[in-house]
Amino acid sequence: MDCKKIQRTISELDDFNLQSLNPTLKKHLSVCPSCSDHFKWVENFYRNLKSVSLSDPGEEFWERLNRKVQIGLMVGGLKGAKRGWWTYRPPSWVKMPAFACGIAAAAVVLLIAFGGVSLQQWLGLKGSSTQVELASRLGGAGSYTQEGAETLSCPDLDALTKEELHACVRRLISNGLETQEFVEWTGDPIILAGSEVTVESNIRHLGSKELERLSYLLNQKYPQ
Amino acid sequence: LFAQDEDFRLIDKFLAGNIESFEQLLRKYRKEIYYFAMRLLGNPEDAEDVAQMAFVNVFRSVKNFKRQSQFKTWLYKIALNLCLNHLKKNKVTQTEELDYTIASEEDMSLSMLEKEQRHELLKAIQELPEKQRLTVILRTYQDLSYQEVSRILGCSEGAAKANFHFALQKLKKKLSKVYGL
Repeated sequence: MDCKKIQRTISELDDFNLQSLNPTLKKHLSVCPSCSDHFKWVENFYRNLKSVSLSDPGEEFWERLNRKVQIGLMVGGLKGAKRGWWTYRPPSWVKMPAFACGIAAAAVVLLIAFGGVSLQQWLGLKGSSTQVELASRLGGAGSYTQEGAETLSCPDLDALTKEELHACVRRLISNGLETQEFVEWTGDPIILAGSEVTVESNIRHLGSKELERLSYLLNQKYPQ
Repeated sequence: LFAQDEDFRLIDKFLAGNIESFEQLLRKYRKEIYYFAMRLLGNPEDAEDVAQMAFVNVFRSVKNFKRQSQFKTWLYKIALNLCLNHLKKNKVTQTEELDYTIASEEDMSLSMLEKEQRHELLKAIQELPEKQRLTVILRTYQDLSYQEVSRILGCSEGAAKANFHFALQKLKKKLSKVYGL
């Protein structure tokens, strides 16, 4: 009998129960050590592979997968390799520093929440800054912010009501300081008639980062 | 055949607007497809993405499914293509990572020798030529018949059997020391 053929037949078996083998094969295995060894090896291989099970990620994972599939079907944008922001995973070289930053940020939040440290203290800002001081700290000495605040003699931001300030900052940030939109903004009835020009001129000098910080501070001062 | 009829029935219901049948199909195959992607890619996050995309693509194009094959093999085929595309882009299969994600409770009961054997086994499979590797994974881990394997890989049943046989021969050569045969 051709041992090569026999060994190939063994590789293709579905069931390694000796009793269920066909009689010719069974007889050959009993007399041929090479084929018998092959049979044992394949049987052992199957058993080993089947014993290697992957860990179950848990019900929460499966439910998340369900939701992701449903979202994918609804938004209709997942075809191809393009990923949405919610599926973005940073490369490993970003993970460690990002983790460290996360820990540091959490520590700061805890310090502010429970340690009696205010955000102003954390940022190095004193409690009741004048607008010039505030602008200087936000933008740095000699910055457009400071210059704008000093030269335009605009009214103190404190003079505006809470709603007006929030509206200004929200509008500024959402408009991204685009000139055209700015013109529209100046006509906004939210701005007080008398301080319309000065407020617009002053804030126009702020960069987007400065505005973000200003918005943050204003939110601290006048929580929504 | 019963499973196939059941799948077709659920597809019909889904096409008629029944969302529950979509859920049922998803629940039925999600583990299989995820584990399949996991074995091919070796990374849980990529496997999750591939499983998600496979289901999204399947359900989006299910009305064009001609039913000349089983729903299951069609789904596998889509998942396989996504995995292969991913591998082409990344050119890495993380055997090490796969090794770590193997059931930890099982890990406790294994001796060092068994762990070493298992690692060698996974490594040897990853090193097989693509078609042979895919055949081994589909045939052994996923427990699919040669007919199903051949449909997924787009080859004849004979070719699937030959791939498996040659894969076993290579593995036997590599692993003979590990398994002491």
